[in-house]
Amino acid sequence: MKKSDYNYYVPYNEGVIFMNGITEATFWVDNQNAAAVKQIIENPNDYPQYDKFINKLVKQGFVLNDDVNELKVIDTKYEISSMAFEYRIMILPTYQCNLRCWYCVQSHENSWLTDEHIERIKKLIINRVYDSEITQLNISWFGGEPLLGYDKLLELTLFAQKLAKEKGIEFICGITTNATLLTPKRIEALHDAWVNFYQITIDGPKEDHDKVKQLGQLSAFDTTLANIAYLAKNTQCTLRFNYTKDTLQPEVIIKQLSERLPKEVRNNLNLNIQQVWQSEGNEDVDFADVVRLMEMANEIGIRPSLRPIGLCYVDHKHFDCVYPSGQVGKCENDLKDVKKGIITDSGDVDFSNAENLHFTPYYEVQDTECKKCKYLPICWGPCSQKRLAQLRANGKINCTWQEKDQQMSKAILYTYFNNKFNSKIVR
Amino acid sequence: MKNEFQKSLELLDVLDSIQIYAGMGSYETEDIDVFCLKENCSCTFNTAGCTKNSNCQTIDKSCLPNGTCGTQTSLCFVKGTC
Repeated sequence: MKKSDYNYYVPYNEGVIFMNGITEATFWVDNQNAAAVKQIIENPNDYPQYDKFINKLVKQGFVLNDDVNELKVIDTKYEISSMAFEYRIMILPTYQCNLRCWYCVQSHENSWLTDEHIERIKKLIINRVYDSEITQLNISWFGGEPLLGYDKLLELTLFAQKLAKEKGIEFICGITTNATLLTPKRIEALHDAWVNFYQITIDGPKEDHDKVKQLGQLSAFDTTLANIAYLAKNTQCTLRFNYTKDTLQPEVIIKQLSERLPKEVRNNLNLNIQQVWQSEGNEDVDFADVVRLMEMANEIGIRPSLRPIGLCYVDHKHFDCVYPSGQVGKCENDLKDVKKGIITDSGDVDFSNAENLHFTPYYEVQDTECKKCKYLPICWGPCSQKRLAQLRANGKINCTWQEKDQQMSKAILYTYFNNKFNSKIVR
Repeated sequence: MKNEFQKSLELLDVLDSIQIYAGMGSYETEDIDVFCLKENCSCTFNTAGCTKNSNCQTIDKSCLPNGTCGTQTSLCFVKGTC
């Protein structure tokens, strides 16, 4: 037996978090015993008396049989992660929004999908779904605020639902929304169209949320939570908790969620806790507060999670992003000057005038330092946007992390807590 | 002073008490009981009778309306015999 080349050891809370990058399994050991456990992992053949524990380590990839080639396993993990069986399309009906959150990355141009665009998108979906490899259709609605284009959203979702039924494939549909434009009637109609996932942002306790999301006389917080309570009776929903140092108030937010979300719907809810990106690195947030929020959410029956690791959906094998202009590209945050594809009358995408450098997956780029990096199976290299910028500049892909070990340690810490609250214990 | 044997027994208790949490990759975690790391591993299991994708033990295939999961892959990342 031998140790994996992708084991990570991160100090945390008077102990060490152990993680394997390929399986993403994690555990924590106190400082008194961490060195001994590390010794066992690194020299498994020297400790036959601990075979029961070593068997668990083998099962979770920390320790390997001698004939294992981990680089090949990483390639396979990449293939699995790229979800070849799925066609995923992200559609932005508009960049417009009824709110103006201070941290939003978009400038809300007055651009909208037209009826002609919708007809072309239908043809595109038909073409993609009839690829023999596809057994799952996944539509993600994004914006701007996608419910500003409710009629077109519903029309296209019903079309895709019918198509999936006809082909006999699985259908997944999700909406990322501020939820203020939902009504019981709309929620029912979307449920009937098989919308089975929502992501809805919460910006802190009511007072803070209502400052970020201003709805005139109404409380955006109360409106949003009332809609979540209604839709979560039948539909999974992620509450994206965007926090800053000031709004990270676990006791207040959990009390307010408890008062507004009935117990019977909470098992359909996930509280995904992420720091607003503009404040990351600028604010000294106490991670113990984040952990306390996770524990308190878990206690009231809402599954907590932190930013996940893994391959971005942009890098999935079959993925298109359709912008309000009707053009097609990859990342929903693509730079405005990136030339995009056009859906033709027949529903194909013409990329002949598009900039396709960022369609290049990590493994097709020669001479990348990522291939030799121990973090490869949890990082997968720079994202598509960053690849594009690098390939434009010098034709090569390099690591873009300023402080790689520090950034990856954070990812490992988050993975430990995601596993702890959402995964199972290895027996 | 504890002798080596006592220390070893104590470590055994520590190792037994360690809770290893399985990973939550972008694949369907519940099915990943055996993460087969061998090259040219061939998996033998019955892929018929599925009702949802997570029943399909070939992870790159989905459950089809006729209750089958398609063809098997040569690398086994899911519960099966390698």
